[in-house]
Amino acid sequence: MEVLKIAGVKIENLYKNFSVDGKEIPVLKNLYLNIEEEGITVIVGKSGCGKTTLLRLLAGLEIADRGQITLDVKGKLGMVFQEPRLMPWLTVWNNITFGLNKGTYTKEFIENLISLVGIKGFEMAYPDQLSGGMMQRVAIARVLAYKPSIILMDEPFASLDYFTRETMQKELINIYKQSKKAIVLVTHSIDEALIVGQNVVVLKDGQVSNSYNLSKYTYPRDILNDNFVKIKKEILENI
Amino acid sequence: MKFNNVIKTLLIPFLLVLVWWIGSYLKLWNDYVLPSPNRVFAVFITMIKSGELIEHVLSSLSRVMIGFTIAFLFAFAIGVYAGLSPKKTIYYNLIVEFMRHVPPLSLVPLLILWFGIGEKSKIIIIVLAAFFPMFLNIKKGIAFCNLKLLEVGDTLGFSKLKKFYKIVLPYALPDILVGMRIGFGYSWRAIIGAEMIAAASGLGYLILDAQQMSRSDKIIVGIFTIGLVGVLCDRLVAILINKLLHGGVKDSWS
Repeated sequence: MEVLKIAGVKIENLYKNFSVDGKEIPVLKNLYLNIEEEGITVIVGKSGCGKTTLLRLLAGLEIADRGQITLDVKGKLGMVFQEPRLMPWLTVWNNITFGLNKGTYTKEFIENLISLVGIKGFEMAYPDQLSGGMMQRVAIARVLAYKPSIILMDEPFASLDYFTRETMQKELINIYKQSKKAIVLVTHSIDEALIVGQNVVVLKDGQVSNSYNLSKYTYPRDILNDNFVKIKKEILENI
Repeated sequence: MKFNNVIKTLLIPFLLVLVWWIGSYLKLWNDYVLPSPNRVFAVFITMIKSGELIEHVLSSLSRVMIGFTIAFLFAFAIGVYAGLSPKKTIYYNLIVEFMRHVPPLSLVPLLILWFGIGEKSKIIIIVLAAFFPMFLNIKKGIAFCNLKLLEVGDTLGFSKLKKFYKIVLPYALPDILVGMRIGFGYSWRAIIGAEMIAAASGLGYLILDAQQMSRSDKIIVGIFTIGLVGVLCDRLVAILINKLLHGGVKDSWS
């Protein structure tokens, strides 16, 4: 059994079923996974392979039927959803500080986050005045402000256009380099996994089918390089 | 408002008054049945100068304010509870639907019997009139909170209470305000009816008194004042709502 490695998290023997129309449909079947305390782990798989379910289990939004999730790291989990999920009645600034208690943060801290995710000048804008990519940046800033030790990301760039996605992937790597957090990103795009992932975990039918350690490749990566093309072919065969 | 829009808004009212004025001038109808606009306006000015009109308006408004406030407190408390526990709807839904269809004015005879012709029975009528639209809107706003936004609260480690006041309540605010606006309109209409049955002051009383004195000009002044105060109050609430619902949450019902 391949053991899956992610950031400071140990997953053993995990089962999760969903009941649809009276029938139990297994989504995760006997899943084992370890997540490192630092680095970008990408879980890649087709839709329906259980990757979002795995992330929601990690975030505590779902409860597993069987098995164990052990968080080695002390600290909080943060989550970036597929959609930005900003509070439409709050400005960008207030959305970023949404999870924080008054007096626990400084103005400079938030200002730094705003320049880190590249939304300077939009502090007082409301979500519906922003583009999809900008909103997703705000969602990322909101998670960073929360200071989690692990950031979970559920296809955060899936709804963005090609160019915005490329920029956001670069930003993500940039954010990782500056914040050195453990990031777990779920995606159906193998290219995205190869561009950002240090650990790439391939999920198939609710189990880990393969995993790759890509930490020796530095950023920015050229995924048209022979090594990556080889890995990509291998993943495609196993996915 | 732009000058152009002011003209568009006032065009039809102006034409109606013009027709009214021409009809009166040509004596197409008896002056007693429908007095001329000049006379109505003259009476209106006299009543403002004597302070009579203001007194009646304030008297009606203060009743509405008291009744509306009581109704809002009840509607908010019960509406929040109902919105947060949708499974309990079945226990009270029938009675709410039943009461919603009974016009509060139909209760006037009983209310007078139980509470006398004093302020109490009038305020109860307003409470009954304003409660249901507010209750139903508050319940709806609270019950249909966006689950995706609530999950954001979960991932940020919010407690149930924190999720309520940081997500559920602001999310429901547009519905709550819509309910308040409708509720205010309902109570304004109900108070006039209640005052026409038993009162010694207020706009409803003014109209009834004018009827007994055969003063159709005063009746029209009363009707216009009711409409004007209603429109003004509604505009005031609308402006307030616009101030509160800045940015992303627009009022789609205005």
